[in-house]
Amino acid sequence: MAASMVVGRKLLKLSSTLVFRAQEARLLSSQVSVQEDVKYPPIRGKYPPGEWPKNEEDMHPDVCWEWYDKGQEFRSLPTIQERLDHMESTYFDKDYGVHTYVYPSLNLSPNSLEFQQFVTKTALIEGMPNVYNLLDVQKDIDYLTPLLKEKIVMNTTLMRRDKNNFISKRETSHEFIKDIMMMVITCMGGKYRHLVESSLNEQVDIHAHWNRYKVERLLPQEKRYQTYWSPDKITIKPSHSQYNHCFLSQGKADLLLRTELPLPEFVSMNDELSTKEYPPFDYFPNQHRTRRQWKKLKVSPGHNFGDPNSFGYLAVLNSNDDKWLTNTRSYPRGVVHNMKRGWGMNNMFLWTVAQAHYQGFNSYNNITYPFTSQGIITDGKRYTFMAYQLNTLHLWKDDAAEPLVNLCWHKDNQKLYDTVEDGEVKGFNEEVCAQLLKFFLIRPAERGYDLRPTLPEDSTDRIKKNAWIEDKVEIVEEVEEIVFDES
Amino acid sequence: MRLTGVLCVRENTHYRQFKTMWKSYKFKEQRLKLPLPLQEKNVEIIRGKDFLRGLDTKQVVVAAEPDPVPTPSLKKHPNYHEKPALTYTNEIQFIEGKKQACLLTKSREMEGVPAGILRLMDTLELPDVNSTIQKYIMNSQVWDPTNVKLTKRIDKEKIGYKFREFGIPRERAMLNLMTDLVRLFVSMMNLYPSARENRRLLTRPFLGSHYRYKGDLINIRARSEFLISSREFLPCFADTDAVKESVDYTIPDMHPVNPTIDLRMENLYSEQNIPAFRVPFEFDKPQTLFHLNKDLSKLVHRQNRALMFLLGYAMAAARRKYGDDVTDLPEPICVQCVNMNEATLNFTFFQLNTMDFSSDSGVKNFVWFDSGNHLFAKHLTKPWLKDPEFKINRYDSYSEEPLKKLLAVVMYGLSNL
Repeated sequence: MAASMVVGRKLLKLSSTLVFRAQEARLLSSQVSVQEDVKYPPIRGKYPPGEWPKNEEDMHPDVCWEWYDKGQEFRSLPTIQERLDHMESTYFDKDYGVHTYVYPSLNLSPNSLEFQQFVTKTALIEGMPNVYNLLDVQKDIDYLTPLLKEKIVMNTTLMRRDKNNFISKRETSHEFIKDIMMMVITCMGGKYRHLVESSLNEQVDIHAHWNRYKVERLLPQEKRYQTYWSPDKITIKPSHSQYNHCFLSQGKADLLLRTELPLPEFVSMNDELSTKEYPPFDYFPNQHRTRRQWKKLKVSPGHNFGDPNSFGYLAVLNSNDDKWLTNTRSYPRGVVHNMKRGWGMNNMFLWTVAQAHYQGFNSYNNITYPFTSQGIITDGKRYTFMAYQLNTLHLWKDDAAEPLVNLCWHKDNQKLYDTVEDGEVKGFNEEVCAQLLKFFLIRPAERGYDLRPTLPEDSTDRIKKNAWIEDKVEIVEEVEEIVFDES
Repeated sequence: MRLTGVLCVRENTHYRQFKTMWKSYKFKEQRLKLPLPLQEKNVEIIRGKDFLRGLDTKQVVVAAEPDPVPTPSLKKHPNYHEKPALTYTNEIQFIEGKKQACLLTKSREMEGVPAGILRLMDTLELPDVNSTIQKYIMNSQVWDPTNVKLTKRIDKEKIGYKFREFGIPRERAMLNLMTDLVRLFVSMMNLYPSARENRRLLTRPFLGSHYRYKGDLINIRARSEFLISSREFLPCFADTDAVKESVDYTIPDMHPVNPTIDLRMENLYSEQNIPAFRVPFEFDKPQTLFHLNKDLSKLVHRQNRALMFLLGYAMAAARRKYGDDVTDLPEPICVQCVNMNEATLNFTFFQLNTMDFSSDSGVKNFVWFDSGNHLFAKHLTKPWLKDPEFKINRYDSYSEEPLKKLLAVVMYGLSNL
């Protein structure tokens, strides 16, 4: 009895839907007859516009379309703050975060420089870019060198900075570097206005994340669990089987200078240097202390969003900061040297990537112009100089699709002076002194094109502000005169 | 494989698999064999148990424990003195406030600001720096990326409310603003050639100084943020007539309490004489001090600290110039200090006329306190209210006038202005 009831209900439903569809069809036919030229949606090609990796095992065409659509999704958001929030909210889970490689900026495993170059896709170049040779600052350098010698004498012998005063090794070199920096800024601040109008921060953390090609992406853990018990039910998304992986990292700078305008580009993107070869690498990342974890993504270039001084100028890294960098005996010779070089390179890479995120770009929307910034690694006596240029954020493509490479110029481990005796500096190296001062005297300039091209023209981020705090309003109290009766 | 207790626990994830494996699998223990290279060398192998049986445990002699290292006694230290000295550092607060500080420094409190600085405030023009200074303020308060748990706050409007706030800590915000202000104003000072030749900016200078107050030795130690030192001392704040008049003035006392009550006793000390430089140097005359109080102290205590450190700098410089035995100085020595809150600037000016602290009579020193120059106002959050205006810290009522005062302080004493 019950079974017949159920069948009856089903039949009723079917009949009602059939009647409804018939009515719909009649209505449609009347409309079609009115419209003569019908427009169809555009046919999707195999690959989205732009250059994409052609090997289907690395990246399926559906995956390419997925990446392209995400990029368009970001472009539709009008402000940068919304894009940063969207990146955090949609692409990771609230409880677990994202399955990423946690990439240490100071890599303690020996002989890992090639691996670090591969992950950040940078080519190392010895020497400094040609921009510094074209500077016309010899007068200022001649004026500043005796002052710098005086500072060295003051800090090493005359002023009291030693262990008796209960100051750590890190702090002494920090004060020495800060003293030199303040001297250059205060002496040259009248002529070079960018030094005064920039913003300076101490002991800043830098965060960034990116995706890299040729590192295997495993299935998420939930999906694998399903395959074990019921392998037939699962449908694997194409995004789970692609050949790239997310990397997350954190750096630290002792002193940061940021300016409103960017530094001039060291080499144009069309130059031969920007397609230079970098060392290949085929090992598993776990060999070099980068492990996979569930983490929340974070981006910060040393300031919160809203600061107009959003382009990096100079980062000073204190090499007395970490015990591994100072302890040269624990490793064979040259290993610490390479470690220090890699540390500087990673920090500069992270900083430029984070800057790009704060201009509206990310790994879905590639940068349209190079990001440049400078770095110094010192303990006060020995100096390594670095100049970094970020050419791509599309590190998840293979080399055929994205031939551009990030560039890092470096000059390694030179002594500024040997000793200080009887109030005089001995063995003073004038080349290092000139290079150190040139890092402050190079002027940031306008590039001549739009620095935030992905934003729409009526976006609120394009409005320039000059005042953030309201002026003081003097309140005048009016007291009514009370006239008493004389009687 | 042995069937141990660990394998048989029911909670084991591979329990079901293990059962099936155990049924089918038959384990055979392999016998131990000597490796080939050992066989070729004819090495004898003895079991561990047999080896231990052969030993006589009584024959083994255990080495004696080394003597414990003696703790170094304070009395053997070269700087140890049996009579303790009083020390003043950054942590000490005076219970009686300004009165106690004036007694310890034997100084007369003057009203307002010195006449030379008032004159400069009228003549000097401040260039248009409002946007850069507002950037500095925002960098210290909002745009700095540090986000740590802040110290507990008590609001008088809502007592008992549990705050749980994250953000930029107070000392970091203050340090950011001070370095930026020094960066701007010293670069303005360096536009004049007389400043470029004569003055130097020092970071984190050390002060070690001492003097005798009514027979007690008082040591002063401090580490400030910045110091402007020069070839020459600052010109005097007050005339010689005012110095002569000060003989008649009596400092209000705090009987029956001794003014040295708050100072700390120490046996380990040396009589230092370091105004930022250990040995005499070309630019060792202290002029302007920039000091930060990173704790939550009141305005009076900030000014007292500034006064004590200025006395230390002046005494150390005077002792280098005139020697130890001088009582009344032929030319008084002047020093000034800028100390800061999160949003306010305070100035202290000090003129050392005597080095004689044995009694309260005679010539007195001079001090000017100028405090409460608000650069901007910070309104803290009130999260118990529903209005979204109270959910974020607000900043308003920015004023330019303390900057004019700061410019006059930094430029004071320059020739060819």
